[in-house]
Amino acid sequence: MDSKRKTTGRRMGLMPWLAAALMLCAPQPTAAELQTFGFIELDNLVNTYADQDFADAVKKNEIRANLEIKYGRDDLHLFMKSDFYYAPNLSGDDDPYDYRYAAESEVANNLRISGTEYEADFNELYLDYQFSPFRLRLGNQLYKWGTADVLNPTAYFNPYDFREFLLRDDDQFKQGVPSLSGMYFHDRFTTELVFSFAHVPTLFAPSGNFWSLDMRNALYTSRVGSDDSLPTQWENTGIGGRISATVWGTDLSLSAYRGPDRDPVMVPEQVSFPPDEPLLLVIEPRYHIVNMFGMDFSKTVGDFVFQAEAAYSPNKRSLVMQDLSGLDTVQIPFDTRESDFISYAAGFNYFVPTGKIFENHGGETVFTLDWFQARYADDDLYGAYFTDLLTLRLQDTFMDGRLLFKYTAMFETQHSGSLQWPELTLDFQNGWTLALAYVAIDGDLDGETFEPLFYHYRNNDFVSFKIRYQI
Amino acid sequence: MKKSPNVFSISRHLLWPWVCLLACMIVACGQDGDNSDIILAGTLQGTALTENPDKPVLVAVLPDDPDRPLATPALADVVLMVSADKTDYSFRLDLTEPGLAPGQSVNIVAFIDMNYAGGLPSLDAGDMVGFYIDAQTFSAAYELQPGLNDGGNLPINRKIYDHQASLQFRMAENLGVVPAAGDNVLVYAVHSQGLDLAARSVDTDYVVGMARVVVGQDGPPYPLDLLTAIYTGIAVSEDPFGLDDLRLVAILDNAPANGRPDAGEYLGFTLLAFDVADGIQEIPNRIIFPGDGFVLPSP
Repeated sequence: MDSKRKTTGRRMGLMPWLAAALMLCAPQPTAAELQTFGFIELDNLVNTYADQDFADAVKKNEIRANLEIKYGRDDLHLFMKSDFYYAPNLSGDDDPYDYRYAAESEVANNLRISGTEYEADFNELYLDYQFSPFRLRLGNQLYKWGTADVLNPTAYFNPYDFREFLLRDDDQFKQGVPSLSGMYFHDRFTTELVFSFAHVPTLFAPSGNFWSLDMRNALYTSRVGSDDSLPTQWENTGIGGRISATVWGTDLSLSAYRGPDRDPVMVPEQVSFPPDEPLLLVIEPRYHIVNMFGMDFSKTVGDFVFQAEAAYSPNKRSLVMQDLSGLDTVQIPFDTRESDFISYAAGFNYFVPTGKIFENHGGETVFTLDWFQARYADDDLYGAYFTDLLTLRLQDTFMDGRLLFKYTAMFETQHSGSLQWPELTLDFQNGWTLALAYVAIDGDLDGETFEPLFYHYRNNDFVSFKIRYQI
Repeated sequence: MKKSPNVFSISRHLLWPWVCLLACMIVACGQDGDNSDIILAGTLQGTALTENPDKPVLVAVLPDDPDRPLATPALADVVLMVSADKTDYSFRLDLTEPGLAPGQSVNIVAFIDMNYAGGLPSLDAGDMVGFYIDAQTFSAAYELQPGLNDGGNLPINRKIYDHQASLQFRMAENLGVVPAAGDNVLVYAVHSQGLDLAARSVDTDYVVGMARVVVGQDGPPYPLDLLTAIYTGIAVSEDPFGLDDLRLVAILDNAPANGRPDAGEYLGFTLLAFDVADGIQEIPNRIIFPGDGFVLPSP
């Protein structure tokens, strides 16, 4: 029975790619147009933790090639937005595994091909077919549901890439999912239906990485296990819908979803005793089917754009709390349980009228505030990993867009976590850009047994610089 | 892309020095830092190791507690704990990261979780434990040195019992050498098999309790808690808990007063052996110091 299910799952996984290939081969009535865009970038990260050699401080030298292709007509075309990464060990670091894309070579359900030093992502790779008032898309897609600027409670389909904590670029932070989507455009509303047929798990940095979630204390080391996706079978597909309309000047959306939870439950699952090492506690990301209901809105009032987003689930899972004061009382694996769950994000963007203050200020100044919170109704469950997160961002452009300044500050208020992130980008307006950034992370342990994330990454402060050439 | 005649257009040529400078920042010749690793390594012995090959064997390092060198440790106090290598029952702890420094003293404890049934190990009744202890000085303090430290051969030869046995004792006040008020006295409860009064020495394996008292301040009567970890060579009644044939041995710690027995310091003892049960009990025999000096056990 298991082998039959595996065969069925493989067939389901291959179906969309076969369909896309067949449609591409179909004769097209008018000439197809090929458009290409992209860039090549060198991205470097140097850890500023003082107690290490400089070669060890260089944590990433990454070459990124981004390629965006649109082939076909506006009403029928193949769209691809892909990234190719290569991270050689340029600094001669004794430990070349400070930055690895994956623990070992693998191919994910969304065609992400990863090795330790390279990766190819196809987060958007779909066939687009439009026949007014409908639009169909088949393939890897990113669904920009929700209005929040950092974490989106209603972005049910696309899992996050947490391999650099919260610091991946916006276009790298979410993963595309293989899916079929249909959109209907009405004068007064828009509705979208999505069917995702293969589960894509959230990405965490592999063990030993600069950003890994490995935690070590006097008694044990914890390590996140492999990112196993749910088997590709009917029970693990996702289906969701969203209807959007503008009501009384407010953009309002309602959504619903049933399928694999985007957020895994991190379950301490097994213990082993490697020689001459602390005992190893393996934490496995486990995914469950959830039902989610959500809404979001956005409203412009003068120079302000107010936005909010919320999602509710009657059956989201989390770990059941245990008494962790003594090792002998801890039960491994931990139990999980369903609970009512709500998460929401609220905030605004303020387009600062700096032109009225500084006559020669030609750029756009935006101040953003975003508050995110997530709660389980069951008090006997461990809370969400990300919650009580306040984000402030100020960005401004100068010299006709040649200079972009951005300052992001995040505050995790439960454990005094903070992240300060100034960035400066120079656009030479000849294809070349240079971006410099510094990130400082801090946090308190507050007596928690499981390290809060900001505390865990408190020594991961870094300086980064990127050189990009736009093709 | 249309070029605009401005400074940034010209500076495309100036970009390359930036790139070189930044590249130099990436690939700089780093200087090796000082290697101040502290490694503690040794081996374990004991029949319980080979008789229980499927049970976890762990070695822990704790801050030195000179008052209770053979006390069953609380895992919350552990600085670092690792699993032993069961191929040769060796152990190796890298103490560099936990923040220990050369010159610091630690206690070393090894244990076998005999009642391990999955999950996380714990140290409780029924488990086997072994301590690093200097048989001559009765001290469990191990002073760390830079580099490799030899933890020696730790015998896992004590079993942990669940009991609350505690003694109340007195010292003779008009016989032999009488400690003065304020004197430090080291007191050990010892099974008679480990006490050689003729040789005036004590085998540390047979120590089942210890106390450090200040005469006139901590009593009389003075308290002494029995250890929960008891040598397997001593017959123990488990249910109810009981130990027979014990003696109290005391050392007048004044030459020098350093918290450990030194050769020649006055040796005291109870004349008669006694039995101990769970709970608090007062020992009727008082400790007498005849005037003989303590003899350190042979290395």
